[in-house]
Amino acid sequence: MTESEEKGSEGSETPWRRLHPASLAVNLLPQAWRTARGAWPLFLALFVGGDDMGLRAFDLSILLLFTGLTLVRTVLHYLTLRYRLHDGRLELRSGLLHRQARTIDPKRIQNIELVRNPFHRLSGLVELRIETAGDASTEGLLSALDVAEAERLRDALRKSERAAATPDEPLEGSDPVLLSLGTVEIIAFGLTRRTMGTAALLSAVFYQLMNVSDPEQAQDVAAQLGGATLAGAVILAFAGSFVLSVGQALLRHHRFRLLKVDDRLVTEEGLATRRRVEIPISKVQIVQTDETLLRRSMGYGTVQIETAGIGVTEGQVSQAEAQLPMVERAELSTLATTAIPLLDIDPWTARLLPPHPRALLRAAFRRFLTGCILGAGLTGLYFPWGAVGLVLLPLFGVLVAWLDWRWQGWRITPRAIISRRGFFTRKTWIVARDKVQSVHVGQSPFMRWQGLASVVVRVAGSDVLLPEIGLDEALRVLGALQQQPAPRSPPQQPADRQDAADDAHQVGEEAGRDSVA
Amino acid sequence: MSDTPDLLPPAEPPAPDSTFAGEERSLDPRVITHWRLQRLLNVAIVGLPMAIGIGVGLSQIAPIWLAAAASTAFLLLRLGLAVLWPTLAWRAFRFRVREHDLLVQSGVLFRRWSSVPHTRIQHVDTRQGPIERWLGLSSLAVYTAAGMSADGIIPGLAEDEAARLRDALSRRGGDDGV
Repeated sequence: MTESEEKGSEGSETPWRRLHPASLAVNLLPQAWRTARGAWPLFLALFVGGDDMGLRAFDLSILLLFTGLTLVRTVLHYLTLRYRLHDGRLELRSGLLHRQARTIDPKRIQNIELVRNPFHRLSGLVELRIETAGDASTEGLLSALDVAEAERLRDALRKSERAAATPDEPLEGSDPVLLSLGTVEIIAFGLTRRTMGTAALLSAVFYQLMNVSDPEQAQDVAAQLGGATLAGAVILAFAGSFVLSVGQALLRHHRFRLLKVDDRLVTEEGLATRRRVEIPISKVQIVQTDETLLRRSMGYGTVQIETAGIGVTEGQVSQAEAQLPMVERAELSTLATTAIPLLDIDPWTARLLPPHPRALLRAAFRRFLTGCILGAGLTGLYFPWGAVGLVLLPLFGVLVAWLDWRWQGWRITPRAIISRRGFFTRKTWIVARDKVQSVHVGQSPFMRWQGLASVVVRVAGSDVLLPEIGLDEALRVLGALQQQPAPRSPPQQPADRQDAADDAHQVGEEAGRDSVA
Repeated sequence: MSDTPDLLPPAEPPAPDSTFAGEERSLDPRVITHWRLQRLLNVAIVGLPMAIGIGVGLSQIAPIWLAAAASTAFLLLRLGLAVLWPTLAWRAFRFRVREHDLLVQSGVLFRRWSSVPHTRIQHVDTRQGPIERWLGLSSLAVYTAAGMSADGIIPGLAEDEAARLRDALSRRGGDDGV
């Protein structure tokens, strides 16, 4: 129906469309809020040094000016933005003084995101974000479309992409849900996130607050704070940070679902702002899993799926296009295989190759040294008791180095590259070999002395670092990875049998022993 | 570079369409002059003021002859490095166009081997700075889809050689894996 409208009109001009008029209402507040939030250093300045009313009024006027400018920008954005689907491509035009025209080829789309913040939901609208590889900004941003229009657009882009890739692929009827998370799991996710930084921040803010309300008193308090009170404050800060973290997790991931729709992965999540991300499976570059110690002991891990599209959301670069917050350990490998169909190994049951033994020596020495320096600092600051740190910290450093080294691993199979590091947060990177862009082996003078080398595998938009291995082995990896794996044959099902040709570029182990189901 | 392991087994049959196929190559020796000039310029602009700074600073707390000696030693060290280092760097640099990839080996202290498969090369640039132009040299930069920076850089090639290599490398191509 709509397709004839889009595709049939190759010769004639397709009419340009504009955003939904309610886009003004939908964008104004969030935009203003974003500007205000972006100006937090100003707030901080007000907060700390703003006793003098003149300064405060001056700062506020600047802030108001900025907000005003944002509002004008929003209005202009609505008035000037036009888009249309023409010849199977999405075309965007915008700008009043600086005109910009952009054409997006559906084949190049890395992922599509549909976002509905509370304002969108009230007015029945949705924001469409389209990421392609390359530029760090969101390449196609249509901030307010009505839902039907957004879905029509998405389907059209999807369809022309598929037409370009494989013609006549039958559409599957049902969309199997691969993962869905309940509130309890999301709370657990929030609780097990690393919260040290937040706690520190909260303590700092707390201290600052006291300072502002009454500087002299604050100093008194700081001086008089006994061990117990101090510990209490720290515990309070931690509790606060946990609450914050849980709140954040709920806001972001509430009612999380992962679906497989045709040849793409779709995630849906969010409490106030619902977001739906669609990633074509063929665009997945890296699957990374993070198993923090707590989460691991509960039998869970976090999966991040990266494409080459780098998005900047509210000033933060988000590499991971889809984050699956809590995945049961048993499911990790299944999900990884769904995202990287060529994956021919289970990184959680297969034996990974260890790093070089001398890598332990290096890491231990480095941590020992750091421990000594920290310990010396502590001793200098708090003499009698700080000396305990001088004894414990270096030992702890060596322990950490050993734990980390012990759990590192890597493996290069005919189709995939696996790298794992870390004990407290165990990270596993999985890359399909047909996504590798280039491989680099590096050796610092110390590593050279010990015959070690580091291997970095670059894919579009990201890097993977292998554990430190011997130089000759690293060069063998380099040699083996130069060759692209044989044709990207059946896209489904990891083969547990391999042909002789594949064994030729397998590294690190005798050929044929790699048959892991 | 006697302890350098061989540039990777096995020796592939040369690719038919490339002049550079297979053989391991060094840079044009003129690049040593280029690097030396660059470093000497750097000594003049940065090193000299730093040496004077060290001398003046030390003379406040140490006898004047000691300050002068330290300052001179610093300058001499920088000068020595500026003269010697380029030769070492030239010796450490090797590249080779293999059947499936471009292999670049470099680095005196921090060594690095980079492999860029031909199929992943997005574009190849040649560039020339003023000194390079005067010497008749050209640099080659190889880009993939991996990121903003070049994945492989070959700094000192004779102009015509750089142009030929650029054409040879950019003629291939294939699935970009993005």
